[in-house]
Amino acid sequence: MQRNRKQFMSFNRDYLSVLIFLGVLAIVMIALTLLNEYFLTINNLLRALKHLSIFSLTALGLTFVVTVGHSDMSFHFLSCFAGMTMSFFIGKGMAPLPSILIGLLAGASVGVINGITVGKFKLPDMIATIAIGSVAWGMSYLYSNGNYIYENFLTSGIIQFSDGRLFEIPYPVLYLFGFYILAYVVLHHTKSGRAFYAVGGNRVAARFSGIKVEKYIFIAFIICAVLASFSNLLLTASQGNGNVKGGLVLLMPAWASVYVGVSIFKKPSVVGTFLGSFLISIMQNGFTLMNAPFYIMDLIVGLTLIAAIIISKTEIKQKASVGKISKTNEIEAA
Amino acid sequence: MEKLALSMIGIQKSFPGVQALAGVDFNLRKGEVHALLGINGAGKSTLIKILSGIYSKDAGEIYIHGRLVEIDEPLEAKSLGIATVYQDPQVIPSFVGYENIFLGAEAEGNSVFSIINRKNLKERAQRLLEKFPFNVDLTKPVLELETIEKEAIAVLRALSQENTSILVLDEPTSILAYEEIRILREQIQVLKERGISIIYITHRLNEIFDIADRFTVLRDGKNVGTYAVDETLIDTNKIAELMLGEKLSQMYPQRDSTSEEEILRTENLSLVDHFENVNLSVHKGEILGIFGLVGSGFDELCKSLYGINTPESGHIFIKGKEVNQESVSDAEQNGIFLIPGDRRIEGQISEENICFNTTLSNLGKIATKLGLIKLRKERKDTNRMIDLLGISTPSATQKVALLSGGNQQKVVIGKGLYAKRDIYIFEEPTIGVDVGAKSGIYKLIRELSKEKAVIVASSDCEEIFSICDHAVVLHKGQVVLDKPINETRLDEMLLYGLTGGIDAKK
Repeated sequence: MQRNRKQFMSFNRDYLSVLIFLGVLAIVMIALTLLNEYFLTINNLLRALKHLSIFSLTALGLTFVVTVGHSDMSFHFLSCFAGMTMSFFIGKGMAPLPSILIGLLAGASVGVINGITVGKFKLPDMIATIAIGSVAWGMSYLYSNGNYIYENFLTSGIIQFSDGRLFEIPYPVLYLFGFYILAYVVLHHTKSGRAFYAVGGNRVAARFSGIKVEKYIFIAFIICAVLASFSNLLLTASQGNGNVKGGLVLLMPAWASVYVGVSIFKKPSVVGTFLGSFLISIMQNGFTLMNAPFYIMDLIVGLTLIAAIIISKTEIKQKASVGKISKTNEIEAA
Repeated sequence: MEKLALSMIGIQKSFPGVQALAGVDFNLRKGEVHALLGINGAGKSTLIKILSGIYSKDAGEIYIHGRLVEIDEPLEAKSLGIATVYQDPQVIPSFVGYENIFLGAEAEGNSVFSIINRKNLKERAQRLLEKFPFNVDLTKPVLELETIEKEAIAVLRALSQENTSILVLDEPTSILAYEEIRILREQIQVLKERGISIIYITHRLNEIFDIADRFTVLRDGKNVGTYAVDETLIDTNKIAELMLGEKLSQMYPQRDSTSEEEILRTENLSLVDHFENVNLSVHKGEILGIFGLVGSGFDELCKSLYGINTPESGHIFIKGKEVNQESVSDAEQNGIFLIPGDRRIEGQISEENICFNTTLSNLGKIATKLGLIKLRKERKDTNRMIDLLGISTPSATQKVALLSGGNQQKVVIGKGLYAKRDIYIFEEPTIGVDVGAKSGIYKLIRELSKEKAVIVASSDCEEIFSICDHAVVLHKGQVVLDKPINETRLDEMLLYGLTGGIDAKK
């Protein structure tokens, strides 16, 4: 009897945080609708969806790194490198598809360095990735001395990469659902997904269970790098020029999305990240409509991130008092 | 009444849906060591938390030195002279001993800028040490100290409060080695002589005879009885029965005959600074016991057999064939599984559920060729494991962090069983596990040994002596004793483990 009740209560609590999130989302949407008549129009919602598609892919990649218990502070930097690499080759007259692939490869190679540095050599993730990311960003200046690259953008067809449609559905929306469904299956329904969570949950126990810890940390950093690069390639294509600072805007929304997800489901998850990105994108879209200055958006996203972290931490604290989680585990994780 | 330091009468405490304490009487004489026993969930920690002001009681009365008191806050308990030292000494590793002792009470003033007078602190620490002569260097950073010294510092901190007269020690020995327990015993003697009354919580029943004057057994939130240690003719089995409330059929399972089939053999296995020239031989149907103190090298030895450490020299043979073993994957190939000694760190993913943990070492079994997890099969297999091992949990999706120590250990064992290996190595299989779960785990290990080769390594000599068929004793990395159990004795094993057998040879 008592057990059932306990289970029911814990179920209720998980359920509750989803409800709270939906409530917050509803309030935000109602407020934006009241503040701006243009907000709730098909055209605008499609635009919001496209914005969501670009930004949420970065957050999806970051979800993998957070799942293995690490942080990546380089993905926005390296996405600039990927974007400028692609722009450079477009400018030299290369076809869109190979340019995109070379761009992704450039970003992925930085992810490989992240993965080796953090996974294999076990350097502190924050500092190592900031340093590696800065180097990558520095390298993105080499192609054009930091100038915009416009050449061939309008003629090469690269713009189709972001503006094309298949049966009226914008390509980015297809990328969004394609990658999210794939990631959902991998992270929540495969052996590898288990391994990612095991590594993030308790690295030592994962190793003792026969899981190749370094390998999964390595892969997570590469996924993060590739998806951040992909986002910035889309952004670059939609803006019609290569800009060395283009990808820097990816940092905060991605972190905020992942942590909103953690605050809902108590751990990083694909669905959580999606919901987080959705909230952030809607807010960004609304503020754009109101012609709010960009720093207001940064402020709002920053506040959302802080709120999300606080909520996810409080939840863990409550659990700690019930479940007696070992201190050493937390130290290990830190 | 005069002689009672503490008297708790009719203490009741309920939590939503459960009555943790149903009218417990407990009294503590002045200057006695009173052991508080009970399996997990019996109410020990609730009682102690009420005494130290962490919980407030629903009903009942507490008298300290004959005076009725109300304890609603930890600070009130402190001012009444009640101090608690928890299982894991809460000390700051980079601070030296006396800084830890006076942590938070360094200066008179309470401002951020109050200046700490180190000289004064040292003098106060010196005076404390004169009063309670523990052998500990208070000027060293705590991280350089042994576990027993950390424990001593935690105790000294509790005593630094001038008026401390009641000291609660919560499982102080669960992390101490034999030699250190001896030191602790001496320290407790010192405390007794100074008139301090001690409530002593432990899971190691045989300690009671060495340390305690009286003991009280709690069961299901009730006081089952208080006994004097020297008055009754009790043994650990009787105490265990009191704790469990039913006759223990037998704590340790019956031994079986062993076969001649050798499964695992090591030759001259060495790892510098940890163990040297270790030769082991494990047969099917037998449990090989490795007894050693903490630091004797048995931990590193077990991890070497599982590919976590790579020995510098020596050979490992499995079923007669020499194998190469440099990683956990190699051990997996060779059919070896280690149930590690520190389950929270090495054994379980606490934040995940039982299904996740059970199948973690054999994900191939529940996955399709593409690597997709068959959730229904996973649930079914996990439920079967839960039944097999008798894990008490509301469901297979319960988070492992929320299970009791014994059930957590069973989940880790379940993970090993699910991995279907040929050789199982158990390190400290019953550490932090209550008596009831303990005998269950011993039975499991014995059951397992009928089909597989089993090694049990432990710093608990009685455990090795009671459940194993063959004993190897490690002392400072050397095998000092290697005999079938029926040719040795508990005290012989203990002696070799403690001294390496030098005294014995004299």
